[in-house]
Amino acid sequence: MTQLLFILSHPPGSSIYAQEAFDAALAGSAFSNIAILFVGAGCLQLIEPKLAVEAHQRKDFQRGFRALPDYDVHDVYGCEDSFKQFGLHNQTLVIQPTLLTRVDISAHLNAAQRVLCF
Amino acid sequence: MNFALNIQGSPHTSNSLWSALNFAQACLREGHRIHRVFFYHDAVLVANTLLAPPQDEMNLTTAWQTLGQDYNLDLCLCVASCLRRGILNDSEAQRFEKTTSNLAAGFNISGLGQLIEASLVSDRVISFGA
Repeated sequence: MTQLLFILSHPPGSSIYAQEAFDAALAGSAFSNIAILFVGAGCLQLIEPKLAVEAHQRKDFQRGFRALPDYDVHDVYGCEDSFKQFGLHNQTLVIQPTLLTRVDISAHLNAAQRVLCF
Repeated sequence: MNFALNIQGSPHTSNSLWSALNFAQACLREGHRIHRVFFYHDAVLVANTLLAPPQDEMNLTTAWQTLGQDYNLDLCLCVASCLRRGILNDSEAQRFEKTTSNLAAGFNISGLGQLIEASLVSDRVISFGA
């Protein structure tokens, strides 16, 4: 049973929001059973960072996605339509989420006890 | 109903704090409760006591302070968001050896656990995005 569903919609790089949203999800995982759903430009967070950290001076927080099982987070989803829109099917991803149709997403939104949007 | 608010937008480049203020006022007027108002991302900038907007413009800081005082609300800021953006209470200012603190009265700085707790115990959590 998902207690908290975190919806991540900010792209990486252009602001600190994506990184801070991931921090919130990790905090949630310490207290409850969470799921994460990447939607819209938020799906771009899943692309494996290609630039060296020295080149952009930002933390590659996305590499932390690989540690999610260690935080007991196993339900990681991505919006199938967004994946198509951003052409992510041929990209090298940090982790592969379970892709959901819009109908699936509605079902998950209804089933989660609470939804937190970022 | 018992609500938790999760506010994220900047007072200067987003409508988030204004929308949330209106929502909170309507909620409380109708007899609902607000367990906690959590300020995240750039929304913490509203708690900068040094903000000095022109007198004929909306002052979001005092509007939130007034609502908080009238209804005894928990106006809680994320400490990590605050430190990144230079919102410091006395103890953080001392800890980082800064010359001044700037946290406006009526707000308090705490951790993300407060957002999670509020989300779990409230009937609804409403996010006002960045």
